[in-house]
Amino acid sequence: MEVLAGLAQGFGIALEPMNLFWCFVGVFFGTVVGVLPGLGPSATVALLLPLTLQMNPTAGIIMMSGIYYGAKYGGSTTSILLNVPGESSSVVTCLDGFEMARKGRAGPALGIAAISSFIAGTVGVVLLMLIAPPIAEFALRFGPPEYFALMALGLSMVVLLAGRSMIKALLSMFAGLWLATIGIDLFTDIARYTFDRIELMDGVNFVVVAIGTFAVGEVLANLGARSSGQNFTVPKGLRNLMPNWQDMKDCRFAFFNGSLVGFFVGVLPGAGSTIASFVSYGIEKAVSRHPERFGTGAVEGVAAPEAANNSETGGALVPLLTLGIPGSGTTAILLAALILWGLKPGPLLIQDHPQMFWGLVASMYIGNLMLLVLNLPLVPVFAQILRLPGYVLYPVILGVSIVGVYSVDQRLMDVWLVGGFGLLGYAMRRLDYPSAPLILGLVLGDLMENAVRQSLMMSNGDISILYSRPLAATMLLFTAAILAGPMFRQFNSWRLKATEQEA
Amino acid sequence: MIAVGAWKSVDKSQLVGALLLVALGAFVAADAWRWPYLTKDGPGPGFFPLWIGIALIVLSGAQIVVQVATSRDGKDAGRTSWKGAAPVLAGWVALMVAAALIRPAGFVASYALLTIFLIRFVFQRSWTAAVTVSLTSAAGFWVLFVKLLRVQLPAGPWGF
Amino acid sequence: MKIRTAGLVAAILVSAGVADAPAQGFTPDRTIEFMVHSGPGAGNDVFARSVQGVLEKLKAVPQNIQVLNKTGGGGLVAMSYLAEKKADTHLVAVFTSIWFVNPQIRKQAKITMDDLTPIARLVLEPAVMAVRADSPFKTTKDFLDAAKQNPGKMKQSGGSLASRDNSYRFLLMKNTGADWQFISMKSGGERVAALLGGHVDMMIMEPAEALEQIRAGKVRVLATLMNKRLPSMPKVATLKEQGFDVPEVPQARGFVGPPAMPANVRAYWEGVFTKMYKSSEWQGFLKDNLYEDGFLIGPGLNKFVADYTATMRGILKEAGLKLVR
Repeated sequence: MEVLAGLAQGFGIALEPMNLFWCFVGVFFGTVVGVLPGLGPSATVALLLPLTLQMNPTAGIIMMSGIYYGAKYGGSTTSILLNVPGESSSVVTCLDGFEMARKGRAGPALGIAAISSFIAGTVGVVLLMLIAPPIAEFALRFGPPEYFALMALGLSMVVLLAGRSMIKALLSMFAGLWLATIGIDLFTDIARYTFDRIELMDGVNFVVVAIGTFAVGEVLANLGARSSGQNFTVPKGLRNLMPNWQDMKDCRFAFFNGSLVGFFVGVLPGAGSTIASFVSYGIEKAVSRHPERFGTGAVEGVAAPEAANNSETGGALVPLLTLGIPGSGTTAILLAALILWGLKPGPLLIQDHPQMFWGLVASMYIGNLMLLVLNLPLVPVFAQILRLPGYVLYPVILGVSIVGVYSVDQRLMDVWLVGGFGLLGYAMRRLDYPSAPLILGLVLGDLMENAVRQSLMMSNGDISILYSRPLAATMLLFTAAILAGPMFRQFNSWRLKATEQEA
Repeated sequence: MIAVGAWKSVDKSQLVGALLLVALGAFVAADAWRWPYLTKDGPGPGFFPLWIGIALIVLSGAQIVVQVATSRDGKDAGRTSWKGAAPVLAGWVALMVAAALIRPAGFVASYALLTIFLIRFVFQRSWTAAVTVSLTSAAGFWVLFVKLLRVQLPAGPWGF
Repeated sequence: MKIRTAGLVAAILVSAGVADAPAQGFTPDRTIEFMVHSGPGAGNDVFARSVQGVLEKLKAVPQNIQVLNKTGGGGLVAMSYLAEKKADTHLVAVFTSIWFVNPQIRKQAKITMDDLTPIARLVLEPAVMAVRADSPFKTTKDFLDAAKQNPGKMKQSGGSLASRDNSYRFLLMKNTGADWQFISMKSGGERVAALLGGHVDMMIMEPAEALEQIRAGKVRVLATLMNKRLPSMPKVATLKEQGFDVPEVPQARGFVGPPAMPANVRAYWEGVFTKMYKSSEWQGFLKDNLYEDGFLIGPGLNKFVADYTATMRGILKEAGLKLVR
């Protein structure tokens, strides 16, 4: 009842013309920066910070959050069309999204991304509204040992990302884990593999590796084929540019899975939407009746990660609003903005300022709807980009890639690196090494190393801390089950072969 | 134990790739050796890199064995093709040259030159196509990223 | 070495110039850049943008201000960039404590604060020592006694080894003979979550974040780590009052210009920040963030730079980090 009253009050606030206007401005800008690689929501929110200080706090937070979740919507566009991940969290979307585009199904891919973003975004807000305080308390039970178990679970997804060869997938993952160790070691201040370059002291940015191996690698491969004509078929007629009923049915579970995984991972301050998208993709593949279709343009492979990274936004707002703890770069700026408005973020924020909280929640329902209305009509328009002949499209992708990596940190070194990783991506394509495990290792590597070392410092070197706490133990059991899956299958096929030969 | 014929049929590209990974693993492990392996509270900064290096060596070793074994069985999935590697290399070198030009000439000019080169020489289209596409898209980049979105891209002496 | 001496001489000349020659008609004629050493959204980026917001509201500068992010190497990239822009008149940077710390512990550093032109120190960030509200430790002594009796068993969450959190730990351990673990965590969010979740026993917090947690009954503050009690927490005693003779480790933020910034330009910027400092908007900013007013310009600032470098040097040596210069 209390929730309904709050929500009614919230809609009253969110539907005020000015707030509605700022909500639209937020989601619109969010979509734009989401579409463009490299420009992320945190940079945009930071850019607008001085402006919002002169707005009223409710309108300000409505707009800034709009940018945050709007960017997640836009992130899938370049992943699907150009194989350029628009946001860090949409790397996984490339895997099946770009394959769908190659098969002339760019429209349905974009459409399903928008729909699953809408569903998951809405689920995220519902969960934020209903269970924020208890789930925040639950998230506090995650200490370093639990993060270690979560990262182990994430890394075990490698067995689901492998193509024909498990060894190659593992090699790719370990190379990623190595890349993750580059930089200053957090615990001892020792510089590892930095080759005495100050630019490498903070590590290799994974946007650089992702854009290099995915986008630049793809362009180089196409230079080899000298495929300068139109490489993609874009079917005519609006009906073929939208997901059909069968697609929606195939994605039913993906919407659900992505929404929940995204939200729960989002609540944890030490995780992030990239992990959420990998994990939901892995789950989707693990439970699918056609796991072999993943990586070749399965529509669920787009829906699950897109759902995960959109409901993650609702999750990430939980610790911010209920505990005053920022869980991601963007929420850290929102926290600063709350302080600058004089709102005193902390555990009592919602109690002190219910109108702001409910106004924000209601605006997120409205904003998600706006995004759907804004994005669906754009799908056929964006899909037309693929009509461009290769000799126009590929140089543009290179340009977008350069701008994308440069705008992350304004460093020319990253442009060199993206070229290097592009060549690596090309070679990996030729030699049939999958690049997704490389990204997986890079993203999770240092989180996992930190978690292990933090845990053992907590226990003075006693390893049992890693598996003796119930939450950690549960996640490690899941990990073991996932790792055992393919081995069991392998064993089974040997057994079958053996019995055949005996017979 | 491997017959000469089998050795000949091994995919050399795969072999070179795996050997490069052995080398990477050796480098990673050797460097890791310089840092403390264990501290009084568990793994030190050298612990993880060392094992990552070892895993790279072992796995790429396994990859070589598998490669040789499958080619002997005649089950090789098909040899790596390097058809079209020349234009790829040309395109890549052009990209790196463009990267080097960004500091002195600015992003817009280097991008325009890269595009002209790719369209004229790699895709072998006409000069007209090359120049038109290059100028339009470079202008588009400038308007979108520099003017509208205020991305701080490096500018050349002429201000863009 | 030669460059640094030259920079020092220039700085002295510049500060001498300030006294008798006020701004001789310098006005910015193009976009002004505020450089920060971290990505968008990090603490000092938000700080720069807040200053930008206040200056724009006051119309204190006639041109647009743009924040320039030069990340990498814990400030070293930004410091080298600033040094490259010798005598630039439209570029100033936010300095924080790591501008003093990192050049002393990173051999790759080529620039130190002595090479640059300090303009104004704006804030000092206070710190308090906090535990969970249900923790058995009621005073600093309780915690330190427990840490003495169970060496290495108590845990503190914090940032890097060179951070202030760790400096205080070393100073307290040396002073009392206690010993506890320092668990480095990447983000501030993780550190607070680790404390609230009971995974660590103690944390050094900023008053702005601590105050709300106290009000919600989640956290208890054991001591103020500054020399004086904080106006926002008048009941919390300082370390000295509780009988621990540990020096204050200041954490300052302010603006610094490139090497050899012309005297009239430095004077111009000093004027801008003085005007801002006197505004009610700025005082409100300090109050909302519970920062201590640290406004300082001119010779006093030069002395602060020298003293602070020396202080940090002593503390870093104490904390067991290898100094490179």
